[in-house]
Amino acid sequence: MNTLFLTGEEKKLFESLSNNVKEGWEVEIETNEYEDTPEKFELRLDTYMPYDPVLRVLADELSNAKDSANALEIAMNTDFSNISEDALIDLFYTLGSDSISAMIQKMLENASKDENIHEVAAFSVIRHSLLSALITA
Amino acid sequence: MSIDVLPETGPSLPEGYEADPSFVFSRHVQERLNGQSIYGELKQKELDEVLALYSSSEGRESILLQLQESLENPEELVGLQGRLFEDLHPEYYTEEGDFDSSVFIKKVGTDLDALGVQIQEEEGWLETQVRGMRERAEVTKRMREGVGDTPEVREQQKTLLQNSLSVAKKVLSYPIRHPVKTALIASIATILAVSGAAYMAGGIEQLLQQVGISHLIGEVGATEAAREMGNIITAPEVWDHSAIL
Repeated sequence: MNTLFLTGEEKKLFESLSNNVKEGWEVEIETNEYEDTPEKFELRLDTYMPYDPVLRVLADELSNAKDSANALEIAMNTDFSNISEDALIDLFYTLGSDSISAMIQKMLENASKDENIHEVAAFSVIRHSLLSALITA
Repeated sequence: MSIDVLPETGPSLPEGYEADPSFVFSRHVQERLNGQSIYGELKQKELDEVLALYSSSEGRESILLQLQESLENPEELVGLQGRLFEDLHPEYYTEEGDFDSSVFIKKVGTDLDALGVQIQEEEGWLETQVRGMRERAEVTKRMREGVGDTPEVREQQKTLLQNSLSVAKKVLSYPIRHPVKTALIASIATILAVSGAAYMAGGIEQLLQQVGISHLIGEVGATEAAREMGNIITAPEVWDHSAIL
């Protein structure tokens, strides 16, 4: 897995990184385009159901949070090691391609080592898969 | 058609009727959608039971389920409620064919007009929900199976996605504070919280309970309370990315 599916702007960010960070990676331009909207996002939120046990437990624990900071702390301390692949796919679908793009951009802006590019590659593949599925659905 | 002219005996009622009266109601709706009627099969007792079902919350749920199943032909559903009542209880109608709600309310104790408005609103809401659920099911299935013209390409995409999800899972499990971990976890928490707000706005408290923030329903108001939970990052902030990372 050494291919990054990046937009034109993201590719520029990647190319601005140091050679030792870029070494061994290939960039493929993400050509899939999908117009997301706040209304579509709201509908995805509206139809989201946390069926995975890890997320069900987290939802229950969040309900006991004292405030938003406490809620985030609870979430950060959650053990996600047993979360299912399907649950992650469902979460990324709910989050949407534009939000994943925002993460990728920030990750590229802060990338300083090969491990960071591994993360970018993973998120770019997830976005690529999501966009491909949305366009052909 | 008047109830009085119904035959004393007729074709057997659908199998399972005794165990589940709503089955008859559902079949009646279905037959109406098919342009037919099993009205003649129903005797006075059954008609009363069907009407009782319709005026009860359970009966209303049957209607909503039927509506959900029949969304392929939404035009058939327009006026369905009125037609059913007119067929089932003509005594509620004047000689001119106008519905006399005072007779109905007196006998059944339900405000038909209010019920009708509510059902129409929920029909529209249901249609949107079903469309959203269908897209979710289709898109996530395609993601799981891989997209491509050939089985080889699909398999390759599928493997790539599985590897990438493993990386995302690893990020979620980093033992230290990490900006990508924080962003991803905050997004997950927000989805859990804000999706609860959406359910509450739709009036589906049962689903909200499954999300786990039902106790927030109170004087503050369900949507406001869930919005408070969602303030980890609010939906608009997720949308315009201002809170990401």
